[in-house]
Amino acid sequence: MLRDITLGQYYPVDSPIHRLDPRTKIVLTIVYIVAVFFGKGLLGYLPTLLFLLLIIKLSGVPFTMMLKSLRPLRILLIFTFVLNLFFISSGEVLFRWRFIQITKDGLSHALRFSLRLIFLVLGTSLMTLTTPPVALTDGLESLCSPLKKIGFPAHEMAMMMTIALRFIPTLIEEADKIMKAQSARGADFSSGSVTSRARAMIPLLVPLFISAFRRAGDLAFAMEARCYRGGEGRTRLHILKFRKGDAVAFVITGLLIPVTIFAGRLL
Amino acid sequence: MALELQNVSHTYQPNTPFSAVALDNISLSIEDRDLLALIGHTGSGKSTLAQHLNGLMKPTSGRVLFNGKDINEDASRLRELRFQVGLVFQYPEYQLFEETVEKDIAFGPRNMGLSDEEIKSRVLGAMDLVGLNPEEIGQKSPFELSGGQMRRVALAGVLAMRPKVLVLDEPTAGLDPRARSFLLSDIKRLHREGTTVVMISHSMDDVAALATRIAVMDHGSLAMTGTPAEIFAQPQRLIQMGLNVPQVSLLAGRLIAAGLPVKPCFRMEEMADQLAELLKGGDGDVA
Amino acid sequence: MKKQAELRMENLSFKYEGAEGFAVKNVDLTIEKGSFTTVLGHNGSGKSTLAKLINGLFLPTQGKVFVDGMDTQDEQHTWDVRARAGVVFQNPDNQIVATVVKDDVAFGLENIGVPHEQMEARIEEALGAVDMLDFIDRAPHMLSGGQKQRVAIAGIMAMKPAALILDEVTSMLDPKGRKEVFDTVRRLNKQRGITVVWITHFMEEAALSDRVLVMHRGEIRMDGTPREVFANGDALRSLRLDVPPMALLAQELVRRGIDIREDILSLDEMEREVVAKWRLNCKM
Repeated sequence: MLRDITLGQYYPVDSPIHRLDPRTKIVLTIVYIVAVFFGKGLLGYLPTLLFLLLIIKLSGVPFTMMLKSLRPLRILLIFTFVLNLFFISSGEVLFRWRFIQITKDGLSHALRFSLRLIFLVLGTSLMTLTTPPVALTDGLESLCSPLKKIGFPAHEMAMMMTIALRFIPTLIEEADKIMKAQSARGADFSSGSVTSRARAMIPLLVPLFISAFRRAGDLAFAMEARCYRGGEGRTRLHILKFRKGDAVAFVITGLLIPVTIFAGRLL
Repeated sequence: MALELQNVSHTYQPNTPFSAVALDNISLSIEDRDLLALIGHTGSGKSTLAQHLNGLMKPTSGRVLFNGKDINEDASRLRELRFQVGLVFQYPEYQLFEETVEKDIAFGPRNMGLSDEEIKSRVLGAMDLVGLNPEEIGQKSPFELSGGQMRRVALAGVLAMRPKVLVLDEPTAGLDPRARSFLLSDIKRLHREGTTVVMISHSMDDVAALATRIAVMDHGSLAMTGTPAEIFAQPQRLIQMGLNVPQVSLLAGRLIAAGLPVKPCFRMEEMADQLAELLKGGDGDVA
Repeated sequence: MKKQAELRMENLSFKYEGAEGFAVKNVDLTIEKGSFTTVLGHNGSGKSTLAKLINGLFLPTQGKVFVDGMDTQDEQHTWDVRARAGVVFQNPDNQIVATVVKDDVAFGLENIGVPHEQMEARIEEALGAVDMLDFIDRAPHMLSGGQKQRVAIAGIMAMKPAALILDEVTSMLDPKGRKEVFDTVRRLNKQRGITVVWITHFMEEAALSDRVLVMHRGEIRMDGTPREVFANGDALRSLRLDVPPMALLAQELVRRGIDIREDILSLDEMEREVVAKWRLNCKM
């Protein structure tokens, strides 16, 4: 059933990675991404690979679960690999058959780009796998709060994310129901030309929008009734606290960039 | 026989850890001109069953027959079938989408590919059936109407397809008493005029007032079928399944247990007649 | 700690912007501390508007509303009024804010600035009060309707309100969920003395309350104990409302010339009356 889908694909176990402050994880994910882009040559990726394996091991998330996060990207991955492989014609030729040729540069490019993509996806999904969505929004709000001074609505943004996460399953379920109800009146969502299919979406989209607006109105009343008046003067259930583990994480991940650059130079 | 289910089972997400049996080997026939009430607690599989009747869901095993033919045999005929077996979902007013009431009701007939003239006459006919005045509200936006009126517009949207069988999922849920009684009398009239009706309901009073037959579902299986008199004569079984029993039939049971010469019954009128007869001021009719 | 609230409406009227008529008209009403009052009336009778007037979500067009003596129009008291008189709404899906039950109950506490150290205890207490403690770490969209409504009630209870206003909270629930929610609120009323205003379409719920008000076109048309109100079947029917089944049966019997009390509400009472009457007839 649609309502069984999980959002943010959080994997609930206890691990040193799960226990890290969400802000640490957000910042270090960015550091990690930078490190991935600094990687030069295959040797340059070695530190990132070791780092990634260490974190996955520590996180207690099964490796198969990690691989699942790559599945939606498999087409993009193959595409990147093939494109780089066949269309870079500089360097020593390794293989030639009719008009197809593979060069050393091409192969190395293809490998590097694919690896980069894999590293990026694995690293960021590790963040969402080990951090509940609520903590993620809390972390983002806290990180963005210095920007409040220049008028950035950090609290409002976090509240919007929370509400979106809360209502996405409800609206998906509703869309499914409306679609079935209109099918019961003979609506056809799957055949015909592009324009007729777009027109067929109206009986789905109009009720869905109206319902979303009605829910928004109801929710506004319910929030006001519970004394909601914006971010001012609110206390928090979850207080974010940096611990020793966060310091260790910062040091280890911080080293990743210089080590990566150094490893790249060795080549 | 209008609709027949033969050993219908349905499993959600089969072969996964989330697999759940929603329907378990259901065999049930719905005769022409029945008003079958489908009762059972939430999660007993009633709505899943309803969606099998017009092919919105397919059985994992077993067959659904309409006029003797397997409805899932030819997927291209399913749309055709849906015009014959009209399904009105729970809170159907949330599906309204057109600018005017008439246009919304016309959505089904238009999908059937009927002529403009025919569509017009069906829209007017359907509005008449549910007691909506076309001149008054036909050109209004459905979103300006009251909740009860919106629901009747949604019902008319299905009736305009002139289905042979009408399947209603909790038609009175969330309505106020006035709107509820209007809607119930609409259903009663439709049935009287020859439509076969399948009605899912939590309200035993509605069921007692309307149904010619009752099917009781429990954990995906068909637990009981029979006439209202047969079903409500077993209040204990219904209560065990987490269902309510009409107060009148509970009263009948208690009075019988207390030794009063009362016949089991479930309808208000019948009970009032019986008791009036029984209690008529001591003019000699001692039992 | 003072926990009970008196709700008082003085010559209260309310008109929606742009509307012609009044949605609530000339309501003079005092709801006693610790009482359980049901408000009946069909859609558009002004029940829901009244609920929103009581905790200051709407402000009166004319007249006044006082919660524990605080005028809802006094801006100084806006948040006190809302925390003292909590409202729970009809649709269980549209009032839960957070993605985890615990965080949702915390929402109100965060809004009124309850210190972090007190939150856990108050959340657990509130969820315990509605019998939902086992669900503290669940996602709301996986709960049943009755469970969602109890979470919504816990969200209000955590703020330690003195009054609960429940606006048709059972109308979208199945019979089981309806009973769960009604029993929970009735218990909070009896055990903790919370003042309850229960707005509903279900006569069997009204029959179990201390006082029944019937609204029609924004006015209060009937006011009394359930027995007094339901004995008046004709008046209720003229307002297009139902009568609980046993009251209806009693009235049907009277119409058939049987001498029986018209204010019977429950199955037990009906059984007692009929059996006694029959025995009496037998002896004669």
